[in-house]
Amino acid sequence: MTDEREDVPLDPGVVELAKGYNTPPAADRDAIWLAIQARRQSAVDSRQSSGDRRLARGSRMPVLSTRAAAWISGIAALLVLGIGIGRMTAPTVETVATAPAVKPPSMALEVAAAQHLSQSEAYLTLFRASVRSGQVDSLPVAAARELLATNRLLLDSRVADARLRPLLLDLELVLAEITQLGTSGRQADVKLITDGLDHGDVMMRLRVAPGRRSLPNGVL
Amino acid sequence: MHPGGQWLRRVPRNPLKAGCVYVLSHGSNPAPRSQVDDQQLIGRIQAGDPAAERQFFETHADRIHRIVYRFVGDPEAAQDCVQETFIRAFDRLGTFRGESALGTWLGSIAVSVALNTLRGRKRDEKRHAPWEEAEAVATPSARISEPDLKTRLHAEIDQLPEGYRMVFLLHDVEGYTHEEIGTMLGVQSGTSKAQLFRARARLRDRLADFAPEVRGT
Repeated sequence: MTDEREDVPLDPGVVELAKGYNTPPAADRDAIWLAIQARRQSAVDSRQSSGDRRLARGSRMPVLSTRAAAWISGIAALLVLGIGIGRMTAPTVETVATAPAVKPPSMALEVAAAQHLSQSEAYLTLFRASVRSGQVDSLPVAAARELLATNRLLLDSRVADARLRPLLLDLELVLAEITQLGTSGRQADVKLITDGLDHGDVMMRLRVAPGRRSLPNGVL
Repeated sequence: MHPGGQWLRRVPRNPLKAGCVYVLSHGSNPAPRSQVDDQQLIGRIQAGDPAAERQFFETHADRIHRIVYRFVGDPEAAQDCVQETFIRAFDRLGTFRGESALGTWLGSIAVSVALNTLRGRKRDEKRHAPWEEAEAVATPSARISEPDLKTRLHAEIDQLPEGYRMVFLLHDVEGYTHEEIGTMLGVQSGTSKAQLFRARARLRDRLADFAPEVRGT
């Protein structure tokens, strides 16, 4: 109690200086909310596949980095923008006859595709590391779902040309398998996915994919 | 309740949307959120109303971000702390008994999450300490230069023991009352007062060379 009686506030000027300590910037609420929703959805999926006895598992899932969530949403937004621009600037029926048979994809689409391939490579690298360490459960399935959605958008776009389409199709298969990983027969499913990755050289093809090489320096 | 002695007033965020936010009000007609509002919101969240979840988040996100950022001082870590705070809050909403304001209860989760982050960081720092010490020896110029009061003050806040630092930041910097801090930290308000006294005393002692400025009112 002596402490309380004798306590004197610091000089207001010093308190003002103290307010400059770790001054918070504006919070990126949308990115945080997106990440929260992804984690909660992931926890729900986990509960559904694990049964009621493992209800607490969701709270132990690793934090889906806000930056990662922002990246994924950014890619999706860029992709939608690219497709939108592509549709708005698409030639009319009359001009199609004189235009080249295959119009090259817009820059926005190429950037979105390159970012998607880069994210997919990172995710699949994480997946393989999780398999090796026996921690596949800790992998955020929601991220695979987002990648799968982006992949499907890209497959429907002009960017999916003869060179990129086979890779996107293989990627779709792998991502779909990851999102559907259940608890029963899990080992066999994981082995199928890793075999698919190895036999199709998916990782190598992701690294040397045409879209990732043709972008100007600094785009990614 | 009201950081900085100001009242929080609930205002529509967008007339077309149901969500509301709090703003700092300097007026004399305070309208703090009642426990009835809190219970209604919790009920809607537990009934699975996504708009209520978003409203809960929008109402408290900035304040929680302020608290955790003050502690962890890193944008990405702070955002992860906010994320983790709300995940835990949604999971444990059923355990909220209304003994404190919902915001204070949420603050206690945020403090716990931030503490875990800081402790994890300290463990990492211990692992890397030899390298950091070597770097400090290799670049002595920064140590020789005489820092101003602000720089010294921030460095001394960093050096405060964890409990002192939290109480000092929550009370003197963020403006929470000892009762609110007690709830957030899980201690008696008297403990909060004692820790604030010691934090201030230590800062005065360490910044004695700036005596006239630090001595206080």
